[in-house]
Amino acid sequence: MLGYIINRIIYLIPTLFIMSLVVFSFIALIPGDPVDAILGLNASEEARAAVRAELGLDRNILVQYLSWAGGIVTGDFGTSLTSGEPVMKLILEKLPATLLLAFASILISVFIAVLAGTIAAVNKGNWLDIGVLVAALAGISIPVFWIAILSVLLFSVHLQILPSIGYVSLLEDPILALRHLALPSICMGAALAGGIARMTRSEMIEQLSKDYVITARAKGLSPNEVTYRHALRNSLITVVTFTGLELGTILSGAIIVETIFAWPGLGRMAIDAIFTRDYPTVQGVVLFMAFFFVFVNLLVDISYTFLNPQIRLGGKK
Amino acid sequence: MTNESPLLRVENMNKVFPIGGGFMKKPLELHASRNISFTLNKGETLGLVGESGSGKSTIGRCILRLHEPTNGKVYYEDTDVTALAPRDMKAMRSKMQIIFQDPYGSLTPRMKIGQILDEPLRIHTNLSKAERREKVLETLGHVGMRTMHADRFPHEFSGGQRQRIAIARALIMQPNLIVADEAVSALDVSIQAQIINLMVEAQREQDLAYLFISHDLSVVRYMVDRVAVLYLGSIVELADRDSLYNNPAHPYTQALLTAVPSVKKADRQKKVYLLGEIPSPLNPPAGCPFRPRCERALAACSVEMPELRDIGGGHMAACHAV
Repeated sequence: MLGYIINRIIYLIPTLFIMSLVVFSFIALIPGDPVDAILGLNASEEARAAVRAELGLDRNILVQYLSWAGGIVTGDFGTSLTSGEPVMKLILEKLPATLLLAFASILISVFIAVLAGTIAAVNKGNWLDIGVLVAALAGISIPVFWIAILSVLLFSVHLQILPSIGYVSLLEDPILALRHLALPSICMGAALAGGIARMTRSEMIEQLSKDYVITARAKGLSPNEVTYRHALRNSLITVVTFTGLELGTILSGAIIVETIFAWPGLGRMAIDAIFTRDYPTVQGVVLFMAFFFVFVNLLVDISYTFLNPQIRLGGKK
Repeated sequence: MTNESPLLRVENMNKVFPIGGGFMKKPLELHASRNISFTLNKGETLGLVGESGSGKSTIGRCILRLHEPTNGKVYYEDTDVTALAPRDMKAMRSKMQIIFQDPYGSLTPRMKIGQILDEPLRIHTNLSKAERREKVLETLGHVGMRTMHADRFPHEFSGGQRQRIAIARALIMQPNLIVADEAVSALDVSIQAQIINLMVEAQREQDLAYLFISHDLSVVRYMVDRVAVLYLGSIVELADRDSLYNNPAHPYTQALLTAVPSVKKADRQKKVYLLGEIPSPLNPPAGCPFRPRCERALAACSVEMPELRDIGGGHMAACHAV
């Protein structure tokens, strides 16, 4: 088991290296110069060269990459051009808000979607099933920003039951924090929920057709026990995989949702940094999100071994 | 054969599956079993043989109400199983069990053997956790498995071992009736013999009755007391084992028996070959379902479905020509 985990962590190294290359070169290819952003378009050539030298932008691109990557290995993501603070410090400041949002939206969508998918599978073909399928399709196809704006209109403007923007820390005022959390997390989770519901439904339909389900019925288990204790348990592995893979979508959704709901998280930080051409911050945030995504996938892989005893055995060999 | 009150009595049971259909469209009707009647005594083994698609498994599952029979009655001792409320049916399930063909699909893959065997005890008894565990280990021992196997997962075992576990699962509630649905068909021959012997042993110890569903006539001959032959959802012949194997009356049974391979030269009698395929149960022929493939078909056969009747000495056959 430990060997399996170490093995998986070693596999991460080349992945992370390639990711850092991609992040760095994309930023280098983007037109627009941070010097313009700092000095304005009318600055003299000498002043621009001075700032360039100060930022290290006059060096060979390879040297730039190596010094940047070298810093990252030691935990130094560089310094923000706009605020002058270390990027890592900024990321850690914004991280809790994004984590809270991502965690809440995953929790809500997994809970609702697994339940809905299971109900749909059990009632395959009748109106409950069709209702779930239509709702899932809507969740997947409706853009996040549209759902977000409409839900602000409905819940904040017309009904006035939920706040439309802002973030309150859970530690300060849990109730108010949850009220602020409700709209953004539901909007962010809608697409994920649609996907999970469809995945759960198809996997459950397959599992329910297997012989062990009839065995469980013959044992005298009630239909609900058969569904939840046997079939759902065997369906979960697919659902967990899917949820893990969809985390990337969740994080990209965070950029939009955080902007609409004025949520002070990593997504907002990335957008602000892009508009101000704050290269080190953009690179830092994107790379950090990529790290995060890879890390969660590792957790998903490890969680298989608990969900699926067959993989556990494979790991030992 | 004794004439005491039977353990299981099936009366005119039918099962119709709706096929297809949809909005404003009537589904087709598939008659998987028609007018099935038979009895099964305590401690007896009744073989149910027929080609694939003849409705063997449907009958087994309808008896346990894993499918609901469309109409007809199933009596367990004097209880009408088809009329039981869910709560009473749950209690009834501990007396009737089933073993499936595929030992790879019939055990929940995410549960340990101990948990799989524990579940029925948890549902049907008030035993404490320790008592249940003891019973689980004891039953594992019965089927020739070791106690350490209780903490393993199904995928760690071979097909024969899994089938032992499936049998242990069926036996653990000490049922009086087990439906063995092609229980040995997926195993290779040497393992088949072990499993059959295990089943026979359990029968002797626990006064078990088996409904032994199989397409393998040699295995059935070894295992059963009486045989029912199915064709397209109906019983065409029902008799004592020896009577049926030595003097098959129905042309279909005759054809089936000559198809059994044998090493003895004397057994290689003139073969009766069957022409064509089993008709679709969605569109069965009029009259006798076997008529299109029968060499001895009479005029009456295409008009009237023959009834199962006694042709002497309790040997029942459904054929106009006999």
